Amino acid sequence: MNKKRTTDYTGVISREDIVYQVIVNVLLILLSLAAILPFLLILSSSLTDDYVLTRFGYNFFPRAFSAYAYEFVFSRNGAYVLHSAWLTLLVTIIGTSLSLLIAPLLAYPLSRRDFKYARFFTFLVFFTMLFNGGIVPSYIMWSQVFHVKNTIWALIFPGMLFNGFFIILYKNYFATNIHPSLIEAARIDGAGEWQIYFRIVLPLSLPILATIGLMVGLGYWNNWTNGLYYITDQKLFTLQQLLKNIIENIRALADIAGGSFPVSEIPSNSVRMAMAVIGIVPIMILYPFFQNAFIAGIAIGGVKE
Amino acid sequence: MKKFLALTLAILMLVALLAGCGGQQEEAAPPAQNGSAEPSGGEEAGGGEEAFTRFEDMETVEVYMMAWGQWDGFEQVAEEINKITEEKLNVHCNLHQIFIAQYANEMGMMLAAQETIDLCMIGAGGASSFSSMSSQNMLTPLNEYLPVYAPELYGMMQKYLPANTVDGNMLAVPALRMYNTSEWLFMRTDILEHLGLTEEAMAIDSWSDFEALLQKVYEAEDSLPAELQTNCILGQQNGSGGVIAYNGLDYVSDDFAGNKAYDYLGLMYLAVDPETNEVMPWIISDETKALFDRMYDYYNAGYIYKDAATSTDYSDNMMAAGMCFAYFCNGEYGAAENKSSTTGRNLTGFVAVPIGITTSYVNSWGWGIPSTAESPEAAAALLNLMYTDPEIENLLVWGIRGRDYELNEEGEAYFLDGAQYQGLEFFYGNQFNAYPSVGQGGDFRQRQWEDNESAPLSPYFGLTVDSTAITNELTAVQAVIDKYYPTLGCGAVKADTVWEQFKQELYDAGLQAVIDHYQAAVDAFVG
Repeated sequence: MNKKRTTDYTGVISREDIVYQVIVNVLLILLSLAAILPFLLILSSSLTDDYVLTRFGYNFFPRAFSAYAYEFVFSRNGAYVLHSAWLTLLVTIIGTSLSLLIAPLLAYPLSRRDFKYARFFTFLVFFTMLFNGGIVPSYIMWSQVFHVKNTIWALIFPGMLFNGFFIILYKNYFATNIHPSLIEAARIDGAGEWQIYFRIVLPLSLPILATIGLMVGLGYWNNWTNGLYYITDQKLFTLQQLLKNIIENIRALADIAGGSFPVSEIPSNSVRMAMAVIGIVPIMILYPFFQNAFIAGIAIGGVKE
Repeated sequence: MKKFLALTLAILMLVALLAGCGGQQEEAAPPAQNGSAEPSGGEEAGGGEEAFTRFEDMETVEVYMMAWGQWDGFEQVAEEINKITEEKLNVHCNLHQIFIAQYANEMGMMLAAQETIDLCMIGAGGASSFSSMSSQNMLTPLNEYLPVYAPELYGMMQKYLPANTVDGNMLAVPALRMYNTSEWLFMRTDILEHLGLTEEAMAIDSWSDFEALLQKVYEAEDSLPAELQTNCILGQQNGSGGVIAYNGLDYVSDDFAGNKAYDYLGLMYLAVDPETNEVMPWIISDETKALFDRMYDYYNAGYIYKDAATSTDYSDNMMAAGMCFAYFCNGEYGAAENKSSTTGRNLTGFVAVPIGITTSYVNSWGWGIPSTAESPEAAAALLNLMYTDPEIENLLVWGIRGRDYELNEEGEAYFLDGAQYQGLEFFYGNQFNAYPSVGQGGDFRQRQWEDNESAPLSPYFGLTVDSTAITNELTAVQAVIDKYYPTLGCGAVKADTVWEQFKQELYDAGLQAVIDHYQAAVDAFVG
């Protein structure tokens, strides 16, 4: 928002400025609270005795403290939760790294004005954003042609490695921020295309790499659909899939078995909250490290030559 | 260039369209049309010749079943099962467990991709439900496999096989379990004893008696000690707001003995009158409205949980948390002891309405041989063993003795601490072959069996309606019910205020088309 500052040369802030600052800060504080308070409620509920939670509802401060929910998840499924967390981290690292390696390699030539078939390949990429084969043909391809079912690659390749939207983002960034004169100068100095790409283009593209890298990484961390379609081996469940399965398994049984299932086995409200916390906390820890690059990436669109 | 691109686009779209239309399987022809199934290396069977006993060459069967938890110990259970199957049948089974939450999705994908599945569990709704698999021709007819390779199972299940028979083709075998269900009423024994109302509770046989008891408990609520106080007198039955089941149930009579149950053909909002064979929109019947009115009175009297319309808690959960004094619930023989065990509270229970045995309940769990099976004969033989061999049943339900469970002197089983595998007794072949749980008594299975055998079969037992033609209407009607039922079912809203609108929206959604479709099926069934 372009607001004309009315600060005079002595540095005194005007009354209008103060009012503006107060309003903006109040709004941002409210928005922040709207984002933070639900999480605090979830955290508090996960540390509340389940019967108290069921009887008296949610509260920001646990009415009766209990770590049973975490005990249930970690003792009953503890080894699996930790195993799944490590597997998810591994998949996120491998998948994000591969994505950052492969996607820009496709996008960079498309951004080059001297590439004769750029428009054609750009159209192909764009086409995939509009049409795809559907779930069943995709399943048949990945499971019966590429044989990735029940392997770690089923968590990395299908639908996650890169997509048309990211390619277009990369392309636009390269086209906007990598001036042809830079490439021309490098060529004159004797650099080959690979040298130009790795030593000039990529170092100048760190903001977009960080931005898309964060999005891809978050996508891998939160993904459970690949596990749903391609993984039946419990040793290959990602954290989100494991948590989802634990909750949905028992809920399905409660629906189906009616009175034939012990209530104590049902992940109650507090256990569901604990699972939500377990799923969120790792990302909350990592996010601050990527925040600056993420913000820089968002501002990319406003940067002109 | 533009023309070239346009042509390319058109070709690609056509290819995508054709790819999307693919995947149809050839309709599985019943074995009778292809002649008798030849055993693959086994002895000849049928027609007075020596019955099948064992395959000559080792057969491998891919078996897919649901798992409700993560069990490291299942591998050893599978090994023990294979020791039995290899010895008795010369069949090796590869047992694959899939989490129940993803079973339907996974089975749908695997069958669409034509992957080999010789034997699979049927249930859990969605793509793995009997109605879905049978309507999409995903199941191999068993008419000639069962008598030859599963004669004991075939004889044992004669009474119940019609539940999974469509147009004369036996498409699956129901899991042999308790089919006779009732609508039960459970009350907390400790509160009854504290208020001296136990005898009165045991004598309840009418709505008037029940309401008098509720009134007394409600009035005494404030005087109860803290550990006996509850949030409400009457809890909801499930996570959908309903306090008492309405599906096919008639509670209009004050006397509980006058309560009736109709077959609802697997569709909660319909019911069939056995005297006229008329399919009724039961959800908007006068009887159901009277039920909703009764719940409205209870809600206003303060008996019912105030957040029932929006709460997703289950009745057992509410009872375990001490939130309610009483609740209605669907249950089987021994439900009172079962509920006391599952909720951790001593409960007094009795049957409000006996329901009997219906097709939809029987065929909700079972086993089928998919159309992608490569060894249907071996799968049928394996199924026979699963239903007749108690050792296999107990391996699947209880796991390995000494590692996962132990038996007491009465022959009741209990899971050990640190059990590496736990099954569910109603999941597999023959529940009546499984050890009873502690507290049920050593003769529990025999009593269960007698209760099952004495229960009346619905006059429409064997009728499975193919509803593929009215899928859109079913979805639309269910959406309307999901909108109104939570508040009507718990009495938060007076039925009169929304009744006409509710009925109108149901018919606008296609209720009449659903009724007509089911009526045609009933008429064809009764001939």
